[in-house]
Amino acid sequence: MTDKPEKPKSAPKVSAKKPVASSEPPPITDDPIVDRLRQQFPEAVLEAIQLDWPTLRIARDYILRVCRFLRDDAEAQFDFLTDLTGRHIPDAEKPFQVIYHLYSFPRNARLRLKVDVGQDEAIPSVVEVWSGANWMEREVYDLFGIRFENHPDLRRLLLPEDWEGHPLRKDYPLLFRYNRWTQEHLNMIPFDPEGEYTGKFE
Amino acid sequence: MYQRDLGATEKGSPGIREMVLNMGPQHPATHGVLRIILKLDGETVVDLDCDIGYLHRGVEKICENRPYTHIEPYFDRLDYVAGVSNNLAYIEAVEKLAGIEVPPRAQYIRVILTELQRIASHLLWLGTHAMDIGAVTIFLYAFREREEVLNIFENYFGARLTTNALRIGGLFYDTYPGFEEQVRAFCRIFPERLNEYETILNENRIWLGRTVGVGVLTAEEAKDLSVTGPVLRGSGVKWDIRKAFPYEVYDELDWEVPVGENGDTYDRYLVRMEEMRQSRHIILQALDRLPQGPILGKVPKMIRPPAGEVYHSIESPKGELGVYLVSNGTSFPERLRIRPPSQINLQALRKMAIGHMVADVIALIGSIDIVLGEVDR
Amino acid sequence: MELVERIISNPVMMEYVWKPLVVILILLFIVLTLVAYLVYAERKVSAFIQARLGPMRVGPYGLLQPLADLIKLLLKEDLIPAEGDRAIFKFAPIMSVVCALVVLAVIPFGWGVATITDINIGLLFILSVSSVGILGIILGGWASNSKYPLLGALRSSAQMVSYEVAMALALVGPLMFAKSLSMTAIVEAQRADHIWYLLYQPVAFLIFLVAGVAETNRTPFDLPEAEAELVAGFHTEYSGFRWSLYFLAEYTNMLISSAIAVTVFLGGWSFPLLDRLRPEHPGLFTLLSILVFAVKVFVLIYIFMWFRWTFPRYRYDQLMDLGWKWMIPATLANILITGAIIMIGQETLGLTKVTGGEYGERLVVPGLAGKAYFIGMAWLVLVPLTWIILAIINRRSYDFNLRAQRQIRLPERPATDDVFGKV
Repeated sequence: MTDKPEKPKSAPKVSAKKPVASSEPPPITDDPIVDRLRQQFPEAVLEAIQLDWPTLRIARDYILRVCRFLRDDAEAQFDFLTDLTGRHIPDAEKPFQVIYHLYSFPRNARLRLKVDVGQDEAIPSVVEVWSGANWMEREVYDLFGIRFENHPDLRRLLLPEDWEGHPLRKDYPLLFRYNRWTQEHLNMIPFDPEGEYTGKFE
Repeated sequence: MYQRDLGATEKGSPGIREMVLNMGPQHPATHGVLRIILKLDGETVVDLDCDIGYLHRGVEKICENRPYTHIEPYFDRLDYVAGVSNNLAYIEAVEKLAGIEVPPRAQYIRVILTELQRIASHLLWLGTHAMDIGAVTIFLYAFREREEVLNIFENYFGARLTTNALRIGGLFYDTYPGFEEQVRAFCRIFPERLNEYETILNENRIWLGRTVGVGVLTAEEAKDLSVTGPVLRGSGVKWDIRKAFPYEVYDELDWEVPVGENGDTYDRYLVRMEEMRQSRHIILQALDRLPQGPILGKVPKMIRPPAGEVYHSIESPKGELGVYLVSNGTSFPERLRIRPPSQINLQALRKMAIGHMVADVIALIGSIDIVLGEVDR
Repeated sequence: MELVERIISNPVMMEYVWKPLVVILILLFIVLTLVAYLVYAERKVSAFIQARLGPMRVGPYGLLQPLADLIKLLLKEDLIPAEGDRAIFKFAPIMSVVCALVVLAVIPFGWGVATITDINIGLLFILSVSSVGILGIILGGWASNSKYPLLGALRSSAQMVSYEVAMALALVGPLMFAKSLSMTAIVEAQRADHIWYLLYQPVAFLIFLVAGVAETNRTPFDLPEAEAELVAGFHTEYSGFRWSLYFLAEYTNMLISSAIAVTVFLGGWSFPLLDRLRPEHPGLFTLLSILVFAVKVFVLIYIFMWFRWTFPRYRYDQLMDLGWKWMIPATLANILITGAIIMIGQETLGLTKVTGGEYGERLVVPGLAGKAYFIGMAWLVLVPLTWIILAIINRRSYDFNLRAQRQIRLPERPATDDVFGKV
């Protein structure tokens, strides 16, 4: 599998391949929690649509306040952060997205929050709202390179400290065996300082 | 009892009293290549830091470069002691995204297999956890029963660990002749064997001394730390995805969610022991109701789910195993995030272990039940 | 040349050098083989407990396994940590082994020639020499210059210090009856009295047994080498034959602990009714006495192994708890109460008499009434009273007040499997 050419990932190619009759997901209009959120933070909710779970697009600066509100609000009660992850969309204006999956034990409901993050932007950390976000944010930082402000301990989680690059970015190659780190630590091939180490497939 | 006021140590002369002990990545009790850096005062843990990633394979990255049908084998190598559960999480996420119906017979067989897998995984946990605390014999007893489950798997899947016979839309194989008898035979002996383990451990003073009150995690702390699975239930939160968001046919079956009270290692032990009994009940009911019919639904040759996203989670033996799948309409997923239950549960180790002793750290790692293949992915 | 011959054939040399040397060689051969087979026995016992077979490949029923192990250990690479203290690192296991083997000298394996030496401070000698043996563990852990061995050595020293005390104090009870420290005298006292001191001193026996397990670093007290926590504890850095020396010392210590327990509490080599053979068939009697001793020792060793494969491991603080808050108070209470029982029996009731004999004075309980009194007092007064004292001392202790077994409570469901159809 290793000698496979790079997979097409760019958006136009994809849509040309298969014309998906994707009906637009319905917007949320009558959800009391979204209404309360809109009331509390008028500029926070950029978009609210109903996917498999209610999905809200939140403005970057508001995410910490929104999360705290959703946790503490008597009606929302999202007391559990199920998952926190990232996504890289190279062609978008803001290429990164951080996705939160919240869960409410009393109401047995899930909620998805999305925050768009620009190339060199940082996003407020939600560790102070849910301590469980600690490692999840570290992982997103590690694999996507999205920085989290006020994170208590923002280090790489899975990769070595001195690793270069963030693997889950779309421009990061799938096979990247001969890089600076492996050369230094694993004694693999002589390192050529003039060489191309951006990570092309060989 | 022995929890010490850590402030006093800090006020004194730090660096003289404290010793940094590097536990792992090669250590008999870290269940793989987990590395824990312990800061000790004598034998009391002052601070600890987990260093994970020694087994990082970049599964999420690989999955983004594979067609949907090729991804499944990567999942049973995540939590390699619970392959079926992992496969199921992925398969169901794809089915949910693509809107594929699964015939009822396949659903029942899936339930039987996942519950057998839960028993096998919990047995492995029991054996290793008890061995970490020093009760070596339990390890071999637990493996004796796990062997029988794995024999069933071997007959069904053709493999013992890397089980890979679930398919998008159903199953690849129907049950082999004698499947039902073999599972029933296992269910017949299993409660007796469970009682055997409990005879050795439940009232054993040393076992009680090593587990009761060790690593207490209150319900609030557990929720705050995003802990799921038996660890959460041990803390007294009655929450199981099989009840909260029933998948497959769990809503048709009659079973209970065992819940602990004190959130210590002993309660987590009790919860898992009871879960094995409940799994056996589920298997028996599913066997009784097992319908006839096809095992594979209508599945397109090339799976290209419509552009969209889905978060689907199942109750794996370790906790909530979630799959967040973003499709762009091609046969390759745009983004595939695995919510690793034992990695996120492992975060709670620091909270649990500080103030306890080195030996308790070992007991706690066992009690969280981590598998490094899934922690590091 | 003549001088050499004279020296060799000198009766003094004969008596004090050559004869002991031969005995030592024979004993070492027997004991070392025995220890090798103890390892085999341990593996077979564990296999028996764990529902498997154990070594089966080398020789019939794996009987040659110890030989194969020995060859493997001899051929293994001998590693010494680069930063370690080389001299001490090499010296430490030897120290452990020597201390373990020296103790064998004073153990009466049987009657007559099987008693190699009988010194009048036998028990003291054993206790003092075996506590020097601990130095081997501590030095080995320290010389490795590595953290796990260091922790193991620290644990070991703390554990040994605590349990030595309990062990020695537990022996005081039987000594009040035997009135001698000589091992042979203790056996003779029990033989003459037709009693095993186990019956007089149940508490002391129990404590000695537990302390013996702790002294030999075996589960549930195997903290110095706790596999799961400290990798291998004090011998993490040892390999090959140096490691096997530690192993040898451990198993010899197990042998010695059981031998002391048998001598002091279980009547040593004596066995009821066997005594009648002594005047007529001294050779047969010696042989049988060795056999009796061996059987008793192996029963205890089996119990040691049984412990090891059934119990989980104590935590460090619980170990200290058990040592200082339970075992030492219990031994002290045992001494006091036993003293009172003897005083009452001796002075008030006049059930005993002190007789002189080959080995000096000892307490003899001639009548059946006296024996019944001492046994009854031991089991009906000594045991409950010690327990009450311990309960009072430890009333606030976590371990004593350990909550009763908890259970996961589920709604009542039908107890049978009928609900789920045929199983």
